[in-house]
Amino acid sequence: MITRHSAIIAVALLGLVTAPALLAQVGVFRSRVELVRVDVAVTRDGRPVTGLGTRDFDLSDNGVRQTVAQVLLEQVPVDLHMVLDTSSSLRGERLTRLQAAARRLLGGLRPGDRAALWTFSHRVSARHPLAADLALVSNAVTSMEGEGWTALFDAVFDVCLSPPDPERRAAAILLTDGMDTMSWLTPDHALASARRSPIIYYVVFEPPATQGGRAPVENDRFLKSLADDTGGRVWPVSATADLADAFGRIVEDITMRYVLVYEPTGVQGDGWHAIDVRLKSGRRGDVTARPGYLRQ
Amino acid sequence: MQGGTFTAAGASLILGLVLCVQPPAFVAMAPSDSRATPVASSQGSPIEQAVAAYRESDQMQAAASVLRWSEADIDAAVQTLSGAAFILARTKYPAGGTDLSDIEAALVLHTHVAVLAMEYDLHQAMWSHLRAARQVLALVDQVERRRGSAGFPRLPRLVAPREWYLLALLVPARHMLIDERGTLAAEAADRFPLDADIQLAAGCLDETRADFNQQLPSGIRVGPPRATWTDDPGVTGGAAYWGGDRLTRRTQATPREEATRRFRATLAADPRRHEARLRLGRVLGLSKQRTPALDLLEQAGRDAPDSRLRYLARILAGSIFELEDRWNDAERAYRKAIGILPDAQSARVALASVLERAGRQADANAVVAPGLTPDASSALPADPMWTYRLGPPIDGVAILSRLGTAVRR
Repeated sequence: MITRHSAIIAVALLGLVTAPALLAQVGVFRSRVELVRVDVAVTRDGRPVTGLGTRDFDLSDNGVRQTVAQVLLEQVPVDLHMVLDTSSSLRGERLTRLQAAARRLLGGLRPGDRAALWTFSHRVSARHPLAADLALVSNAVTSMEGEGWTALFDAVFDVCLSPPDPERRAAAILLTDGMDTMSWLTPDHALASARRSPIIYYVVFEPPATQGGRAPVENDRFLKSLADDTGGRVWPVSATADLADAFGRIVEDITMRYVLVYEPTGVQGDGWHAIDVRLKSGRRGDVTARPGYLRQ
Repeated sequence: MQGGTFTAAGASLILGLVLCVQPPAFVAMAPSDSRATPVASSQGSPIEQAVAAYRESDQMQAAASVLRWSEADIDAAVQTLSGAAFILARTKYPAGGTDLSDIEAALVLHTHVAVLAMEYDLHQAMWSHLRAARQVLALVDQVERRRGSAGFPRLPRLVAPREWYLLALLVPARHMLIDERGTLAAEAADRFPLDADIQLAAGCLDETRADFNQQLPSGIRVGPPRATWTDDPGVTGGAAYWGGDRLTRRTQATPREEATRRFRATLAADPRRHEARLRLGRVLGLSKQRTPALDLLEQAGRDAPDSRLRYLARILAGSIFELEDRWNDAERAYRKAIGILPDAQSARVALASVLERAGRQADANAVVAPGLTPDASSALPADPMWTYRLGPPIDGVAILSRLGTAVRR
């Protein structure tokens, strides 16, 4: 019998990695020590800030100051999930524009990074699995076409089930007009799943013209929460905006994120751990990170 | 965003049924060039030709000819048929509407244009002509009443009101139009209280409307019928229980109650209608009457001959088990649904969600992965849950088939 209690405590520990995964990279951690890895974006005037180290961050776990043991920037390869709304509104010029933007996105990844292509209308499709050969993913982009209704919440859920690779960072770019019309799951279910997943969501929100440029309030909240709760961002774009430029900036943002590693000290117990990450006094920049993680 | 290609199969069926009434003799009259004149003896603009076709030859044959002639150019077809229908209406209505066959021809034309427009996702044209057809229908009723009182025999119908209502209830529509469809549903259900098809179709729309209201921000409900729909007797009666408008809560519960009433009426008229049984179960389940709901769904899941209905019964039962925190029962129900239709995504997502919440991430991924292959989108049948959420009954294709038979009669 699955009980509500066991369902809650059985969730995955977000951002928590076991030592062997990082030992190979940094070589300073004891085995069987739990390390928490926090994916952080630092920007100034909308552009990534580079050159930061352990002494530039203040980090607390459940209110207890932690020592940042390591700051990784380019050492951790990225697994990027492109999650694209291909419902019936995606036709003609809009489709061409999206395909060009997706290729720009793939072109911004570094050697060793991987990409996957997901599309969703009323059906969710894993069009190409994570692959280091980005040309294959680019070919899959060419075969996209728009039809049908929108199962946004189900798509987010399905992507979140992707098995995580502890040696890589996982991010998703979700492009949608925000109008879910066909999901089995509720937005709350999809959000809860996203919070338990290590994937960071960048939401590119293109408001539908039929709604006067606004998504229904609930969906609007869903998209914002999806980005906020996973440490990502919402990028609103207009129908005439340069989508390729937006995607180019997002991939730059993703690849220039820092990974802060720390061994939780002075904090015990399972459950929700709130994380607060800031730049130390005197450093300028805006920090974006997950608000916390669930410890099993 | 939502779109309209989803029910093209149903639309094709209607169109196919309309086209198949064309007899061999008329095929010989149709020119080989698909854009040429539909009827050899007709002259003038395409609209005038279409009108002539209706006046000079058998009306159903003419309709089939015009549709076939213009199939290659949907815009021209809609314009042509639309023009013909409005000319017929304009020339006959002011004269007192005594020529019932011509008025009915206009009704047929409008209905056929609506079907054609539906086939090609021209939603505005579809609804424009369904509205026009409805006005003609009211005129037919008036003429019939006059003839009836004068002792005239009732003329044969090309499209009887019941069939027209069924068509209007079964055609796909976007959520924005749900209010108008709801009005039609109320009117149709009141006119045909013992008709299982009508009651099921109307109940489905009530159910969809209840769902839609639930999704709206607090306090906002689908509004009352638009003024253009309240001209005729019967609509206002239907509007009385629709009630409500924006920023009120009056309609929050009534659509669900109406859906319950109509599904019960369907089952009373025909106990073999398992779709009404499973929909009634679902509505009762959402109304916290979960024990009778699960009984109904169990019966539908066990006895329905249609695998899609058995699938829906199982997945809907699973959702009720979830509401009761009966996770093992939910998992069993979803697994049964997957066993019935392994390629349908909704049951896989539903089961995976239960597993993921239990911390069984790998199991959840193993459940959804087989349904995510890109080839599936074209090669596999649609998930019945998608159709269910759109409102029209799963039985719609069978109902439309019977409707086609009625149109041919």
